[in-house]
Amino acid sequence: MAAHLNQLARELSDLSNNMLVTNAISDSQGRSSYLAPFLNDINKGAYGFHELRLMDLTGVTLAGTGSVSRAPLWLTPEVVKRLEGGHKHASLERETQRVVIAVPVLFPPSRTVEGVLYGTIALQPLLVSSSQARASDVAVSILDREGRTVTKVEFYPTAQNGHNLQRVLDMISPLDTLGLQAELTVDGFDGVWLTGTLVLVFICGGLIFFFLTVFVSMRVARSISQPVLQLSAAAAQIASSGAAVPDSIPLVGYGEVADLARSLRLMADAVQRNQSILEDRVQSRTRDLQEAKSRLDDVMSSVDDAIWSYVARERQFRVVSEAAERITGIRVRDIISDPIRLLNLIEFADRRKVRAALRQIVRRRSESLEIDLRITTASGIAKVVRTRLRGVFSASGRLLRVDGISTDITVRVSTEIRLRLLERGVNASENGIVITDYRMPDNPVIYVNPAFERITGYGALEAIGRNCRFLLGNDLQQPGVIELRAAINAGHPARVTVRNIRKDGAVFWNDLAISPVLSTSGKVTHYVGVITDVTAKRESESAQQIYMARLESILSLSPDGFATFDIEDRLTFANQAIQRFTDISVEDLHGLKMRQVWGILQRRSDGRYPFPEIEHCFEHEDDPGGRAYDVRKAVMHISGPESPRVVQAAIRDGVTGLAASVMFLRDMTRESEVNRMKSEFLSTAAHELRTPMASILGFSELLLTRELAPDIRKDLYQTVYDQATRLSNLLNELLDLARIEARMGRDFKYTVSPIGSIVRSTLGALMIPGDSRIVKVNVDSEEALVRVDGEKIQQALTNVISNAYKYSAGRGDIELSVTCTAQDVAVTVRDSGIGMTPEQLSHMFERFYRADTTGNIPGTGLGLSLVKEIMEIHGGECRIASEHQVGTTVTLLLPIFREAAVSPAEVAVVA
Amino acid sequence: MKVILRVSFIVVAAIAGVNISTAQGAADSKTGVKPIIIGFDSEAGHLTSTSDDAIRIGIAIAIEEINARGGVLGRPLSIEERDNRSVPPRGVANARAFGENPDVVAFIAGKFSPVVLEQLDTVHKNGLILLAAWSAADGITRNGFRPNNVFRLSLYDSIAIAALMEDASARGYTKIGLFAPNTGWGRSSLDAAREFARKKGMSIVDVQWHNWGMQEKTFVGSYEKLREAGAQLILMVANEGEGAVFLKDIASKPSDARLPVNSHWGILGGNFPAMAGTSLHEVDLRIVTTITYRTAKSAKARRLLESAAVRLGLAGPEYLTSVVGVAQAYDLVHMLAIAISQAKSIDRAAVRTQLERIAVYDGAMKQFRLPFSATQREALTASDLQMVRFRPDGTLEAAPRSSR
Repeated sequence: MAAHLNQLARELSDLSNNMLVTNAISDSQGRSSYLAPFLNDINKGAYGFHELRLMDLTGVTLAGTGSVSRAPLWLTPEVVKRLEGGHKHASLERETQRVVIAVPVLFPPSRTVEGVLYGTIALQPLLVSSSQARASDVAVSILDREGRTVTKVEFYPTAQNGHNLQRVLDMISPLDTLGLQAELTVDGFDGVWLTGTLVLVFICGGLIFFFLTVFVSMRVARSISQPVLQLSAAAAQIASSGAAVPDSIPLVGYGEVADLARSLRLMADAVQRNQSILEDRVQSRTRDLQEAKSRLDDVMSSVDDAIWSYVARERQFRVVSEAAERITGIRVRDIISDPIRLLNLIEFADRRKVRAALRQIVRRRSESLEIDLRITTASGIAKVVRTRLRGVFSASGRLLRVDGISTDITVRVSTEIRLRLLERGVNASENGIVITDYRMPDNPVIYVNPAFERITGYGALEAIGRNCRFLLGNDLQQPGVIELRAAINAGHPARVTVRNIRKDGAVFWNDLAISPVLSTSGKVTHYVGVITDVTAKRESESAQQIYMARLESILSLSPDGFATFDIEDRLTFANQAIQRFTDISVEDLHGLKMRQVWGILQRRSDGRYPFPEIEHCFEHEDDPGGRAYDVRKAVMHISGPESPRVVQAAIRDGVTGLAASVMFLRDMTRESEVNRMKSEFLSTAAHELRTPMASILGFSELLLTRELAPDIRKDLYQTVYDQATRLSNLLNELLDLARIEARMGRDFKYTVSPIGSIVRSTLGALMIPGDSRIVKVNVDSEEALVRVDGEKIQQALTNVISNAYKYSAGRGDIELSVTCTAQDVAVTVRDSGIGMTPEQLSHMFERFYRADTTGNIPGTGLGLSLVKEIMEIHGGECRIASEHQVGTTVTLLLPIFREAAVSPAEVAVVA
Repeated sequence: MKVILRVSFIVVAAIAGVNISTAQGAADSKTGVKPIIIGFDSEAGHLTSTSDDAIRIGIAIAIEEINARGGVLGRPLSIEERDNRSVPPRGVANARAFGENPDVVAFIAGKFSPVVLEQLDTVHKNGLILLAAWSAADGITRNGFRPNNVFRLSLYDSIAIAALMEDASARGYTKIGLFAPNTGWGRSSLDAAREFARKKGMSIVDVQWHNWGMQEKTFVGSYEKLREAGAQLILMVANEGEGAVFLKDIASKPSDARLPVNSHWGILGGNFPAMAGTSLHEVDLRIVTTITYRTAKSAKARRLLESAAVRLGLAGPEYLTSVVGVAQAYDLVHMLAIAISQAKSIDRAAVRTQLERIAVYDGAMKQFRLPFSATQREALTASDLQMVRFRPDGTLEAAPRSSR
C-alpha cells in the first residue's frame, strides 16, 4: 500500500510539469475543453486518484475530475505559502478516510508557482485491495501519527481480540509528513471456535425463516398482483421498446392500483416529452464531445511525448499519438497494424528489458515502471527513449492493457554524458572554477571545483550560497572590482586582476576571467569564473616594473641615446636622447628595423666624412660576467645645427630578455674638439718654443766651435740673449695662462679700488723702450669703484697697451679713456696702427695666433688670450674692434662695485 | 537592459510591497493633496516581456506632463503598479485591490489577453474603468457587460488578423497555415482567420497549436506539418518566446523550404531581435502593428519616443522594443485626464460617461475625434494598422506594399 501511495505521489509530480497543465493556468477560456478530459483520461488509465484537480493558489478549481467544489479545507494560508515556496503538501481527511497530495505547478513564463495540482486517494479501497491477497484471519488498520484509527478492514469479525502488530509506513515526500502506520490484528484460536458455532446456528435459523416467509408472501401477493403485473408488463414493454407510449398502459385495478395505473400513464406522458428533449440534448452533447475530442487530438499531436495504449488480448496498439511517428520514424497506422515493427527498432540487448518489464507487470510485481531503451529509427538515427509503462487490470486481476508514455531523451542523455566529461575536466583543472546563479538574489555561488578550494582555502560547502565578494574582505572598491561589477551589471564577460583574501587571511592576487552563460532567450542565467593565483607572477612583475622604471628614468636622463630591438630586429624602446641623433620622435621610431634607423643616421650624416656600413664594424667583446658578445662600433659625423657632430655608435647583439640587441649612440663632439684643440695647442706651443731654442742652440754651437771676431761674437751673444728672453717670456705667459685657467681665479686677491688709480699705476709702470709716444689719457670716472685683483688687471691693461704700441709704431697716438655706464666701467685703448682684417679679428683670442706674419713685431701670441681669461674671471669682458690699416680699439669692461659698506682700509690698499 | 530593469524593478517591488508611486505622487503626499491614482496591472514578473517597461514609461511621461500643468481637478496624478506575472488569478486579485481603493479611478491593463479577460467580472462588479493599452483579444471589449467599463486604444485580433490576411492576399498567397497558442487568443485568431478566408476565397490549410509557457525547444514538427498541408504562408500568432523558437526552426531549413511569415504583434512585446538572432533576416517576416518610430506620423509621437528612449538609455528611439506600449498608454492617460476634468470628479461612472464624450484629442498615435462612444469601445480602426519588418540592425521599418 505504501508503495502504491508513493507511486501516486511521484506520478502527480510528473504530471505537474506537463505542458498541458501549465498551459491551462493561463488559458482560462479554453482549458475546460482539454484539461478535464486529459486528467480524466490519465486518471482512468494510469492513476488511481479519487479526485485529480488543478487549482490556482486562491483555491479556485481550474479543471479536474469529480464535481467542482469550493476551496478545500486543507488549503490554509500556511499551506499556500509552502506551496509557493515549491514544497509539496500532504494531509489526511479523517472523515472521508482520504489522503490528499498537492504539488506546486511552476509557471514557466514567470518561473513562479501559480497553480496546485492535487489528488485525493481513498484509503479504504486501497487497503482492501492491498490486504486481500494475504489476509484471511486478520484485521488491518491505518493509524495516524497519534495512533488513532483512520480506516480499518476486518477479515474476521472477532479479530480485534487478537494480537497486534504495528509498523510505520515507509513513505516518500510529502506523504512522509503524515506519519501513517499500519496495524495488523491476528485472531486468537478460542475466539474463532466459539464465534464459528454461533454463526452457524444463526445462518441455519435465518434460512428456514426466509424460505417460509417467501412461500406465504407469494401466495398472498399473487391474488392481488394481477393488475400490477399487467401494469408491469406494459412498463416492461415501454422499457424494452425505448418509447414511452401512454396509450399502451391499461387502466386496471381498484383503489391504489388504479391510482398507480393513472400515475404511470401520466408519467409515461411526461417521459415521452422529456425523451424528445433529452434526445436533442444528447445530440448537442455528442457534437460538443466530438469537438472536444478533436481538440484533444490536436493537443495530443502537439505534445512531444508519445502516448500509447497496448491492448494485451488483441496484441495490438489501440491508441498511438502522433509523437510516436516523430520519435520512431514509423507512421502511426503502421505501428497500429504491425506492432512488431516497433519492437524491431529496439536494440537487441534492450529487448530483454521490455520482456522483463512486461513480465513484471503481468505478475503485478509492479503496476508502473520506467525503462530507458536504445532504438534505431526507421531512418537509421540512434535515439534513447524513456518509456513509462503501466498495467491496467480488470477487477479479476487480468491484464487488460499496458499504457505508456515514451519520451525522446537522446539529447538529455548525450548532454548528461557531455556534462559528466566536462565535470571531470573541470575537477582536474589547475585553475579554480566557480559558477554563480545570476537569477537568484545576490548572484550566489552554486559550484566550485577542487582547485578553487585549494587556491582560496574555502571548502565547497563554505563557498556555495554566498556571493563571491567574501573573497574580497573589506577591499570592495578596487579598480578591478568596479570593472567586474560593471561587466556583471551589463551581462558582459571581463578579465581583471583583483586582490583576494584566503581563508587563512593571506592575500593573494587573482587573475579572474568571468563569462556569462546565456539562456536560449538570450538572458544571462549564470556566470562562470576562472580563478588563477598570480601572486608570484605579480610580485615578480612588480619588482620588474620598479626595476624598469628606474632603468627608464636613468636612460631618460642620459645624454646618450639608447634603443633596443626585439628578436625580429624591430625597435621596441628608445630614450628621449635618441631624438637628438635621428631628429625623429621616439613614437615615430617605434617599430622601425635597425637597418632603417641606421639609414636615418646615414641620411643625417655629414657628406664630407665617410659613413660606416653596419655590417663592417664587428668587434668582439667580453662582458664583466665573462660572456662574449658581438659588438659593432663605429664613429660617424652627423650634421648639426652649426657644425657636424661626432657620434660614436655601438650595437650589442645577443642580449637576452625583452631586447635582442641594443644600440648606443654617444655625442663625442666636445671630446673630439678638446682633443683636436689640445693637439693643435701642443703642436703650436712646441713650434713656438722650438724656434727661439733652435736659434740659441745654433748660435751657442757657433760660439763654441768657431773662432770669431769679438764684435761678431758680441752680436751672436746678443741674439742668444734675445731668444732666451723670448723663450722665457713665452714660458712665463704660458705658465700664467695655465695657472689662471687651472685656478679659475681662486688665487686672485680681490680688493675694491677706484678705476682711476688702477689705470694710473699701470701707465706709471709702463716702459716701452725705443718709443717716445705717450698715452693720451681721458678719465671720466676717476672714482668709479671696481672689485678686482689689481695686479692681474694691471697685467691685462699692460698687455693691451703694449700691443697698441707694437702694432702702431710710428703711426700716431695711443689714446686711453675711462667711461662709466650704469653697470660697467669701460677702459678703452685705441691706436691708429695697422689694424686687422675681419679674418684676423675672428682668430684674435686663439692662443699663439699672431696677426703679424712677418715676424718683425715681437710677441708670443698668448697676450690677448691671457687678457680674455683675466677679464672673464672678474666677470668682465674684452671687446676688440679693428679696421685694417686704420687702427684697433680694445675695450676692457669691468662691473661697477656697488656695495655701500666698503671699508676705507680696503679702498686704500691700492690707492 | 531588460535584465537590469527587471531585476531593479523586482527589488523595488519587493521593498515597496508592489506599490510603486511616482516621485510626484510622493511629493504631493507631503503637501497633503491626495493624488488621483491610475492603476497599472503589469506583467513585470514575466521573464521576457518588455511591454510592461514600455507602458510604464508611456504612463509616466503622460503623468509628468499633466502634473507639470497642475494636475487634474487640482490634484496630481500618480501611478500604482501591481504585478500579475501573466497569470490570470493574480490579475483578478490586482483588479480587486484597485477596486477597493477609492482614489483609483481606472487601471491600465498589460499585454496578456487571458489575464484581462479574467478581470472583466471583477472590474464590472466594482465599477472600475479598464483601459486596454495592448491586450488584443476581441472579447475584452465585446464582453456583454452593460454598461461596458472597458476602453481600448490598441489593435485587436479581428482587425489584426484581417490585416495580416489582407497583406498575404495582396502578395498572392491563398493557402495559409496558422501557428497559434492553445489559449483564447489562439482560438479567437483562428475564428478571425477562417472568417476572412471564407470571404476572400482563401483557405486555412492547417492549424498547429503550441502550449503557453516557453517550454518547447523546437516547433520543427509543427512547421513541417503546415508545409506538408500545402501552406504558402504562415500566419503566426505567438509571443516573443515561442515566436523566436519558431522563426529559428524555419531559418534552419534550406532557403527554398522557408515559408514567409505574417506575424501578429505579440512578438513585439519583448526583445525579439536578440532572441531570434540571425534567423530574423533569413525568413521573410512581416508584423502587423500600430506605430514605429520610423513610421510615426506626428512630431508629437516622435518627441515622445525620443524621450522614452533617453529614459531607457537606448542609442536611439528606433531601438525601443515595445514602442506601441509607450504611445498607446501615453494617449490613454491623457484621454483619462480629459474625461476626469470634464466629469469634475473621480466618480468612476461619471468618468466612464465622459470618456464616451471626448470630442477631439490630438494624441501621439493620431488626432482622435470622438474616440469612444456608448457603443464604440475601440479607439483604433483597421486604417490605423500597418505592416512592418525588421531591418538588419534589429529596428523596425515599414514593409513594402504587396511585394512578393
